[in-house]
Amino acid sequence: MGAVLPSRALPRTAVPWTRRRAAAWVFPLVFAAAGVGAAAHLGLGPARLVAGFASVGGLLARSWPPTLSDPMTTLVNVGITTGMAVAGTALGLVLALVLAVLAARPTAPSRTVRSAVLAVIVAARAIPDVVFAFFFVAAIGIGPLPGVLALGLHSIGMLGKLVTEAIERTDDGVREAVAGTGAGPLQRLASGVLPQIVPSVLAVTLYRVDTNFRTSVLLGAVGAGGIGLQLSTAFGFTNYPEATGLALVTVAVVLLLEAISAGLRLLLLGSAHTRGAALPPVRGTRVPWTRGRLITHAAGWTGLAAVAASCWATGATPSELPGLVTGSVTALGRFWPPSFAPVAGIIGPGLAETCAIAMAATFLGVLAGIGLGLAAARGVLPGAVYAAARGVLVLLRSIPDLLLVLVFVAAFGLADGPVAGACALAVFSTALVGKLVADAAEEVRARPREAIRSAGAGRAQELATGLVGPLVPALVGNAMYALDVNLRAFFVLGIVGAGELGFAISQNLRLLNYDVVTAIVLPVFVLVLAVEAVSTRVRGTLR
Amino acid sequence: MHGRVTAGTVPRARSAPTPAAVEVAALVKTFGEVRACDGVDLTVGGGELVGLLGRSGSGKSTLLRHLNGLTRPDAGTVRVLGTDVTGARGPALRALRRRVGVVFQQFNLVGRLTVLENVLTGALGRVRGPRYGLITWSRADRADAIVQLDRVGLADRAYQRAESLSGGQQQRVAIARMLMQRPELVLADEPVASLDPETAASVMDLLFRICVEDSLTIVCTLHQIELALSWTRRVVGLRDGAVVLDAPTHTLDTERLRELYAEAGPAARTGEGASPGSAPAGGTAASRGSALAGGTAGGESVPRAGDRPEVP
Repeated sequence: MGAVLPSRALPRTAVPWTRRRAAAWVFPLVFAAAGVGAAAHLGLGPARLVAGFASVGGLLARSWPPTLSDPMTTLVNVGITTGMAVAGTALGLVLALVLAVLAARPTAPSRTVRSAVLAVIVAARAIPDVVFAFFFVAAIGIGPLPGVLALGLHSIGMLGKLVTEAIERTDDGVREAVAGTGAGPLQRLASGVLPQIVPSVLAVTLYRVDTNFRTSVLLGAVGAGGIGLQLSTAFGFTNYPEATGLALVTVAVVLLLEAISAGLRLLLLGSAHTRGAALPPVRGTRVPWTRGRLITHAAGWTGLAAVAASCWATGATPSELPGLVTGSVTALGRFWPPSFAPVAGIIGPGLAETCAIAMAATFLGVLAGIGLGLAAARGVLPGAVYAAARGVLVLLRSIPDLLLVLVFVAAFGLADGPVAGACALAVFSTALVGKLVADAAEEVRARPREAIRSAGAGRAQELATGLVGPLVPALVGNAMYALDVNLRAFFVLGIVGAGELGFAISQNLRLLNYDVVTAIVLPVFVLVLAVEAVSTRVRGTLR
Repeated sequence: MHGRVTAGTVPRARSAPTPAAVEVAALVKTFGEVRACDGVDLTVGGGELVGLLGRSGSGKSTLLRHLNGLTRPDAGTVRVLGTDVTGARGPALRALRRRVGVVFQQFNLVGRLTVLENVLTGALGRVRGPRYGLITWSRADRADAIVQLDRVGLADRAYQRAESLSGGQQQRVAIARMLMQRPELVLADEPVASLDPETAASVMDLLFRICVEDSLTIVCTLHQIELALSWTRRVVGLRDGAVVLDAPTHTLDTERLRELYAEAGPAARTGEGASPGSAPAGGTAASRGSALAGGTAGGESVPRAGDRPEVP
């Protein structure tokens, strides 16, 4: 027995090729190759990139100092855009709450209803908000209301999914206790489910208002009005100082809304108002005004007032409902069936171009995003670099995608639309990937890295071993997510008219050829779904 | 033990026979392979203080959950307060639940809501429409809730968040919620299993004192023998989903009850004959018979001589 051991060959040092390991190698290589190929297809070389960014710099220099010719109109437009975001989110929330109750396991009336409603929620997420906006503009004409409807219906996707999950996380015991008192179905929802989901519903709703504001800037250019329309008009008239002024206002509002929503989250969901503060003595049935109760009431009533004001300002009132229904039915007939004939020649090359734009943008965005994200993760680089990177990241994230596309198309010229679009989306992806990388890096940070440092590793070694390894799966997921977002951003390009398909969309919208618009949107939509399916598989393999 | 238990044990004082609060017959419930209830018969008369004892997995919680329709049986009948729970749906079931208060092991309060709101939940069965927030409740309901809180000694905590209370306090709030319901029957599922011994004793005392004061019927699952001996007046023992013991508490002692928790199953002991404290097949049948007999006799559930295997 003892002789066996020494005579045995050394254990194999070759790492076995598992599916996961193969994917971890193959994916980045394929991704890089596709990115480089896409850039080549668009004619986007390093020289072009440098020249392009230089012309953006030139454009910015020419548009300095910014002007604001009509501050009152701008203020009203900001109000309309904010109102659209608030009313749209409120609409989405109400619909999502109803659908989530029907879709969540503990509250669903039956399995059939549950699956049907889940399908509706998935569909609402899959259909881009811009497509909803095209449809409602065709149905009821331009104005903020189609924007509200588009935001509301598209928001159902994300809100519905998260609220459903929140309901499924509620404590069975509490629901049973409420049911045990003989409460009816609505009472069980109000007393057994609602109090438990309020914190998560609040958090996702506040987050969604931010997202919807950025989208409502975009929808403005589709016909919903507001600051988005004013922005694209200023760019259209090549009034760049004015455009810069409006852009600064928009970014400032985004940052302000983000700060408000972060503050509200802290105020309403933080532990601050649950503990501490001694309670006044109980005096009969008079409910004492504790700090927590004051905050809840103030925020609640202000929120309701804001929603009411937004609905009034955007014309989202119940009296519009009959017109909306008849208009939608008529519009369905104008969008369907699709008419492929007028665009048959350009769909093939157009799709290839759309893919190339998205792929090149994602590739560049991931490269830049990794760097920015790592720099902006707490504890990776020295404090000053971290602070600067964090600032750049927050700023980049607050720029609506429409604004980026407008700036790059203005700098490159519409003839160079695809390249301009790819660059704009690359900047957008940089912010997206950067944020995700920063979050992921902060998550994997602490303990394993401490262990590596204790083993005597230098800083670079520590980063390489402790960060890169765990980050790869997250990165692949982020890259696929960014690709998905960039494919959907095709519709932004369409609004501006960049790229072959984008130009065709904006032309046919102007000519009211809605059946042709469907013929262009449909293949892109299928493409988006296909990429999503692939991305789910890739992420599953690497998990 | 043999000397203590005599034939013709005097039942506890009860003036007039009251109709049965709980009538369970041949109840069968399986979860996959597990037979949680395997032909349970049980009758509980009005005003009885019954402890359900047994090892975890013996089916006592499942039995309890059948009594307010939270679980539906595979076979058998369950009548509670004159209502057939098995057949009850929708409004009929809610009407029954309104009359049956439940106290849970995990209290099941909404931690984010105030103590008072949690207590008010108990009144949902008799108000119309959903409620959210204290101001949606009438002043009378709020006053009532504070009275119930006062009974459990927590009126001064009315406007505090429920999650800021200790476990024992939370269970007291849950008892106040149960009282708010003005129930006729109380079901308690391991009400003190999550509490430390001292708190457990005070909560048990509170719960049973209230039941006696308001002449409520209580069926309480427990797994601590001492608690059962101290507070209940009748003990029903379950093993593998069947009733294997049903006797007035004063005829029992720790040693006798410990048999319920012994490792060997009833099958292993059937061959031994009627050894003291064991519950062979015949004994099980006898206890079923006594439970049913008690039901027909109008809540007289105390067994007569000869029903018990342990009676000489």
